[in-house]
Amino acid sequence: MILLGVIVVLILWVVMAYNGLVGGRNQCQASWRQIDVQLKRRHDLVPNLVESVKDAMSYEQETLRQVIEARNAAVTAGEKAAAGGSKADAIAAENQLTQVLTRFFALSEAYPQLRANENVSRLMEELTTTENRIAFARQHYNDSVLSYNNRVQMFPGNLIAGSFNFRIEEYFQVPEAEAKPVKVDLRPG
Amino acid sequence: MSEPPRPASEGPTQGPWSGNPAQPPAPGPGPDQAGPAAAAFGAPLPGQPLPGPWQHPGPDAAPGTPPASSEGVAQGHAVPPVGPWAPFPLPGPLPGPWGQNRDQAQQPQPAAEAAPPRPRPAPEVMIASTDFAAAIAKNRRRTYWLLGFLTLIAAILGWLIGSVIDTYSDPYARVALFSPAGAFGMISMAGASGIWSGIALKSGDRIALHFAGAEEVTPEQQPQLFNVVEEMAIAAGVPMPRVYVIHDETPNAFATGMRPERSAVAVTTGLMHMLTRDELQGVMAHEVGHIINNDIRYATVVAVTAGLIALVCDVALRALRHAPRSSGRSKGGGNAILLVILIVFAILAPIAARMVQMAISREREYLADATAVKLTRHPQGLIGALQKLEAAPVSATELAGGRALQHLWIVNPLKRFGEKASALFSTHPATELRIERLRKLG
Repeated sequence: MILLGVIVVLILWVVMAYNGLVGGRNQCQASWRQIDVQLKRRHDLVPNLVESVKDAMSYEQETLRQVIEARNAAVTAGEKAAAGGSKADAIAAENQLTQVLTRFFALSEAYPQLRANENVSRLMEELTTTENRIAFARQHYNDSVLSYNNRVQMFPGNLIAGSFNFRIEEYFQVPEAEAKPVKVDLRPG
Repeated sequence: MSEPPRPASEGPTQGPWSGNPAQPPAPGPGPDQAGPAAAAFGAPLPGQPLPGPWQHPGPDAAPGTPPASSEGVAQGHAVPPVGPWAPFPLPGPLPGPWGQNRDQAQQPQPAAEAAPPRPRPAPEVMIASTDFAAAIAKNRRRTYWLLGFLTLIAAILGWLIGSVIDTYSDPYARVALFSPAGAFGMISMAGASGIWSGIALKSGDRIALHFAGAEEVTPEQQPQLFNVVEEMAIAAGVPMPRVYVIHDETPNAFATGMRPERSAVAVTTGLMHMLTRDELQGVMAHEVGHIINNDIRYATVVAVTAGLIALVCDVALRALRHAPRSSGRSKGGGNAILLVILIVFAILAPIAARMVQMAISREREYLADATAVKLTRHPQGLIGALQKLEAAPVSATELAGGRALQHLWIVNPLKRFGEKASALFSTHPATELRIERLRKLG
């Protein structure tokens, strides 16, 4: 009787641990897709933005060209990755685009007339939010991976994970250039 | 909290991604002031290595990547996750939401005035309990304890009433610690609380929004507000809440909704006018924090239980006042003592329940603040917002539904909390205390 109870409890625990692991893995995949959704959003946005600023920023043709090139490279790499190519290439291309866009946005600060243009300022807000969304989507993905990996690796969940072949997920990693600590501004106030 | 002196000329430094055209990056002389401004214009950042334990090698130190020039923007945000207050293996620095380092200048730097510049305030953030994950866990634990305490009050009350009724209906009964009547009283209290909570959770959802005169807005009407909310929903991994605007110049905001799938956030127009994008993001992160922590449900259940305790105590006191005295007098001392205990308890319990309710409310505010930092990884936004809210003049006209809904708002709309901020009966901790805790997280 006691033995039966122990077995039932054990089975229940296995079921719950298994379901928890499946849920965690799905969560990771869903948050990975969210990154893709936001990257797509960026790809769609960049040409519009460049189109609307190219007259005002005529002295920055080089930067604008880099932006478009980086965007096209990212789209191509993304398509390749979707077709079974290297995910690392796609990530590298996106990171490149992030860097170029950062520079572009910094340069645009020097053109106040751009900011006065309602259309441009709306697109700038869109770009700001898109960059934020990408960053937050990555952050959420990494949070999900952290909690899933904890489940996979911690005792006693690792027993279940091992027997049902749950593997730890990879974190989304950013290149060194982005990861370098910032020089903090220490002005009081 | 003494505010470091602020050069009159400068507001919050604007990063390039601020999305706020009005404020260009504040230029500043001196190498220690070049941060955001230099980053904004693509100047190469000196690869200043961080000393000490927060030097995070990072799993992502991809070799061979050329140090690009203008990454300060993203990095401004990348620092917090790798700080010394991350005792668990955080997934490496994240590219921050852009434009988030513009308030770095506002970051409290106790050492900044006297000592040579340092990247982070070191000593106080070394304590493990100040990182947001630990802060969240700690606040949760406290809530559970408080909930347990509230339940205990209700249970004792039920037991006392059951026992008193029992002994009065049967003069020869002994006072027993575990009498069936006492148990019955306890169970009835639990049952009533459960049923009432269930009803409150089912309905009661939309009422707050109507009360406050909130009006739902579309992305076209408020693009930035919508974007900020959606960013936070993405960071939290929850569905996008509906967004409401309250036409009121008092800066404030609240969240409502019993489930993340059916939640809403509301902000006043005054809040939107007053805050920068980063600060608005901090406030929205706090509100989304309430949503993902199920605080509305917590508050409902707690309010119902505290209300039930008050109601039952009131009824018991009234009943005792009108109870026939003749039968009571002749009984043994045990019953009289029990009666006295019940009276004292019935007087004190509602006060205690209310205090516990408010304590839970304050804990949930701290919890939402810590969750906001988890979502944005950028405490400065919320700190700046709270400072502005604190400094905002108290509006002469009360917010619609301010009193009834005071526990919902990000800062209490009724009064400014000064020194007696942690007063036992306030719904919110003192804003200074919240800012102080947030600073420890950053």
